[in-house]
Formats: sequence, C-alpha cells, structure tokens
Amino acid sequence: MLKIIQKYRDMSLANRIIAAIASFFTVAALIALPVVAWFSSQRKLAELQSIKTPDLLYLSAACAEDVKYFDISSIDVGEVNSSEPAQQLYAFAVAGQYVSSFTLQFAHTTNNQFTYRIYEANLLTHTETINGKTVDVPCTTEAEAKTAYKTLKNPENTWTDTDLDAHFREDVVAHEVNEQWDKIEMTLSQRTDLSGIENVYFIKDTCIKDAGGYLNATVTNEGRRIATDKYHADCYGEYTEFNAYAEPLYWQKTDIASVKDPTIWGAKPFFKTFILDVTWDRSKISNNKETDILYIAAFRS
Amino acid sequence: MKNENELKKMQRASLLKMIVIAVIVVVFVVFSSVAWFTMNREVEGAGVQMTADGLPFELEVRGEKIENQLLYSKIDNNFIAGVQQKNGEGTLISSFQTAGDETHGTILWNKDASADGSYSDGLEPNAQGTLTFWVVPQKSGELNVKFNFNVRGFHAKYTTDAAHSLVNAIEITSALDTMTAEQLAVYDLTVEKLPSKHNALAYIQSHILFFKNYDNGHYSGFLGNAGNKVDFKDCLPDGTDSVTEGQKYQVTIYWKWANTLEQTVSYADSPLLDSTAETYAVDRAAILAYLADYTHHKVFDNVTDSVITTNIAKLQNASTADDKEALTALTNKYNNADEVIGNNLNYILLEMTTSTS
Repeated sequence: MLKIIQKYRDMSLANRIIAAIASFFTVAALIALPVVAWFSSQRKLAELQSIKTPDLLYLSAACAEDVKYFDISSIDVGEVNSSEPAQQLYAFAVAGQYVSSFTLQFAHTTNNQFTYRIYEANLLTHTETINGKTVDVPCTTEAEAKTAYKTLKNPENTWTDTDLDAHFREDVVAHEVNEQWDKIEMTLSQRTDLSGIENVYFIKDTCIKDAGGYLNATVTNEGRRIATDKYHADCYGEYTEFNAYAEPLYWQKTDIASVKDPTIWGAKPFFKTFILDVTWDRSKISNNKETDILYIAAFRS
Repeated sequence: MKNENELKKMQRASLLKMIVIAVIVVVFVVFSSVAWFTMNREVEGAGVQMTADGLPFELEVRGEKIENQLLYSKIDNNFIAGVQQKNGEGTLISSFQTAGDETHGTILWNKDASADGSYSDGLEPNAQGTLTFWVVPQKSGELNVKFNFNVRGFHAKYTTDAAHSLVNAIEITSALDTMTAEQLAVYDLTVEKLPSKHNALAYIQSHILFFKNYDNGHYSGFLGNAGNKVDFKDCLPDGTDSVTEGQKYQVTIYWKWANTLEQTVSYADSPLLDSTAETYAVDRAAILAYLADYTHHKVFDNVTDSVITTNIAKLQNASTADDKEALTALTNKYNNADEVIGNNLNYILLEMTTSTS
C-alpha cells in the first residue's frame, strides 16, 4: 500500500492525472457493464423459409432455336383439283428450366376455315451400334426417316410405297436444326444429342388437341366454327360492334408432362416439341384469303 | 527517527486523502446515475417493470415442425430450440419457451405440422403463412411489450451436383459492400451482383405484408405502416388491460406475399381485403399509403418516384378508368420486382423481436 503511495508520489503531475482518469473509467465501466447487459435482454423468434427461383419457360422453334424459325405465314392451300393433301405440319417447342408439368394454351381467330390439331412430337430415331453399344440416333435423311417410320407404324410391311409416302407426309415433319436460341441461356442436354446434325424428323405422338376441344366454340348453320359470347366481356368489355370471326377461340391443356421419365431426367432444363397440324377444305378456302392470328402460350401448371 | 515518524504520518495522511477522494468520486457517480434515472420522465409513468430480475415475460411456441430446421446453423446459429415444457404429469410436450439465460433468448419457431406457410419448393408470389406464439407473463399486472416483425434475406451457395445441397449462406446487409472480391467469391458472389441482392431484399421486405387478422380468405388489420409492429395490449381480449402470471396469451400474425399489384390494392380477383368489411376503407388506405411511401418501402422495380406517386394517387379515386391506368403503369414493375426477388434471394428469415418501448 505504501509502495503504491510512493509510486504515486514519484509520478509527475501529468502521469498522476492520467492514473486518476484511468481508474475512474475502470470503476465506471464496472458499474456500467451489468446495467447494459440488463438493457439488451430481449426475446426473438425466427422462421426460416426458402425462396423458389422463378420459372423460365420459352416458346421456341422445334429444337429450342429462336422462335423466328417457327414460321407459319403464307400457307399455300393449293388449287381445288390439286392432288397434294390439304394439310401442313409445323413444329414448335416449349423450352426452359425444368418444370414437372405445364399448361399449353392456344387461341386463334376464325377468319379462315382452318382446322388445327396439336400433337406431342417425338424425334424419329433409328438404332445404330457405336462402340459396341446400341444407341438411338436421330434420322437425318428422308430415306432413313421413312424406314424408321415404316418400322414403327407398319411392322407387318403391308404398305406400298405410295401408302408409305402418304402416311409419312401426314405424320412426320422435317426440321432444319439451327443453333440454340441464345435467349435460352441454359445447357439443354437434348441439344447436345443433336450436335453436328442438320436435319431431323419429328413424328406425331399423342394428340392433345383434336379438331375441337375449344372453351368457347360453336358451329354455325353453315358448319363454320366460330366463338360464342362466353368471353365477350373479357375480350371487348361492353363494346358490341365487332366481326364475329375476329373473336378468338380458346383452347388449353393443363398438366402436360415435360419429359417422359422425370425420375431419370433429374430436373435438368428441357425442351418438348409439339406439332401443329393445319388442315383445310379446298372448297372453302383459296389462296386469296384473310389473315388469322394464332396465339400459343405456355406456363407451369 | 523523527523524520521516519513524520514520513509515516505524512504517508498515512495522504492515504487518507486518497480514500476520501475515492469515496467522493463513487458517491458522485452513484448520485449522477440516480439523477439520470429520475430525469427520465418515461420511467415514472410507464409502469414498466424495470427491475433487475429480467424480462417480465417469456415467449412460447408449440408444434412438432420447424421450417428448414437443419439449415439454421448455416443461416443464423443464434437460433436454437426453446426450452421444452412439461405438462401436469411431468411428461415433455411440444411446447418450447424462451428463457432468460444466454442461450434461450432467441429460439426456433415451432409450428403445428398442419399449419400453413409450409412450401417445400420454396416461397413464391401468393405464398402466405401464419405466425403463432404465446406470451407467458412472469408477473401479474400491466405488461408493456411490442412485437416487431422483420424479414432478413440471405444469399446461398449450393453444390453443383444433382443433390443441390447448401454449402454456405451469407446475410444480405450493407456489410457485403465492404467485403473484398476474394471474400465475396467464397459465396459465389461478385461485386456486380450486389446491387441486385440489395434490391431483392428491399423488394421482399415490402412485398411481404403483415396483418393482424385473417378471415375466410381475406385479411384485415394491416401492420405495414406501423413498421410491422404489434402492441401486445392490442392482442388482449377487449376490456382487459392487465395479465395474470403464468397464463398464456396467444398472438397470431398473418403474412402474405401478394401475388400481383391488383391483389394488393384489392382490385379484381382474389383481393387481399374484404370489401364488405368495416375495416376495408382504413386498411385499403393504409396499403395505398404504404405503396406510395417509396422512401421506406421499395415495392416496384425500375420506376421513378413521381410515377409511383401519381399512380397510387389515381388508385385512391373511385374511378375505374384511373384505376386501370395506374395498374397498367405499375403492375409489371411489381412483377419484375418479384422476379428480382426470385433470382437473387435464396432464404428469408421471418424474425420477431420483442421491445419494451
């Protein structure tokens, strides 16, 4: 004790002041600490939730290419006495991040008497042995495609060449493969399978839309399919002066599976191809025709 | 000899002086603290139990289920299971309480297995949930406590294999802006991504709306303009002002991530509010004021403040034409904000903090 006093005495005035201030703060801190601890006690509850990443689906050309390649303008309906079938097939796809199922919607005006059908589409393939393994390889030439088609549809080999040509034209559409749409910034494993291939053939699978199936269609006395007034208010509000053929017909199908086998697929980005089948009656339509607008939409369901 | 005695006397004297000074200093400190306390008028009238024996209440949650229980350690490991309670016979029940010790002040939120607000794929717009807890007063009398609801956001890094499991997560705060590129890279973050992260957090904090009541598909008692605060006194049954020790008082708050702007302003399909309810006008005005308050709530993506003000003002009129104009201007901005949320946030913590002021 006396030593401390001695030390204190030996210090200069400046040091004495410093020592005094330091000891004061120490005492003050000792008083303050328990006070602060008591003030900061509070209770908290928390619930942790994850956020889902948004869906990303695109409507693209048949192999996830830019949708500009899906060109359905200017159908040549042919002359009345033409021998060509009154049918045209177009392929498009729904591509994007994996969803287990989605809804496809289709709407169109009825200025022209076209009949629209939609089918799910599969790639026409033939088996090849590569490195000792049998793999399914897409058909790249018409001959290959026709052979594969015949094996599929006419295994008992009863068709003539003319029959084959007719059926082939009805069920299969050729597609020139372009590069993947740059807007779809995903790795599509199905595209990797198509690398280096320039032409593929799509064959109709399940029919998801037959000639009818609309939500708001009716048939006139002349046999034309036009829209009823079910969605008048939604389309036009209270407006009543419009062309009956301009009001769209609506169709949708929910829960379309994105891939055939989800468990094997593993939630990777995908594209699913569809075939739009347009048919017409030559007596009711000529090339000097009106314009129709078609809308196709897809979203996760 | 004489010098020695004199020296000792002097030393004793100076020791005495030091003791006297020390005592004076201590007394001075004590008196000034007391003076500060008495200067604070709030302390006198508030009736807050500012006693030395801890908070006058505990919180209790019940149920078997905890959302994303295994991930808390990577998100915020301050939250642990509450103290499990026993029933009358001494068997453990699924009720968990906070406690005043160091570890049980912040606990996980248990809920009933069938309660809503459970999304296995993650939250998306239109999600909704219920937050239920019980207040357990530790002494009878008046209880002054407020509950603050807060949304915290996290960015997460996942493994790149099919398992897609959580590697690490970091909270989106201003601290991110001070981190170096190497520190950010640990979480797969870059400096370019940070503005979107901050925006996403601001958007989700504004898009999740808290309500006091829910009835048959409609909400009422919007809390957004009160800073998402609920006063416990408002949760007591009408006419009661004080609580009984040990009795448990239930508080339920509802949250909703409004799907579209139309839904938020109770326009067209599935509106948030019931237009026939008494509280409709007050709640709708409160929601519109909330949307218009762009300083505190970032609701819309990439739109100027004046556009927000003019269009929310239009929604306040009863005119359908004005409504349509306003919605056309703003609805995509709301949806785009949702998309920013989905692309930038991986986890949110719906946190409730108590405050006694």
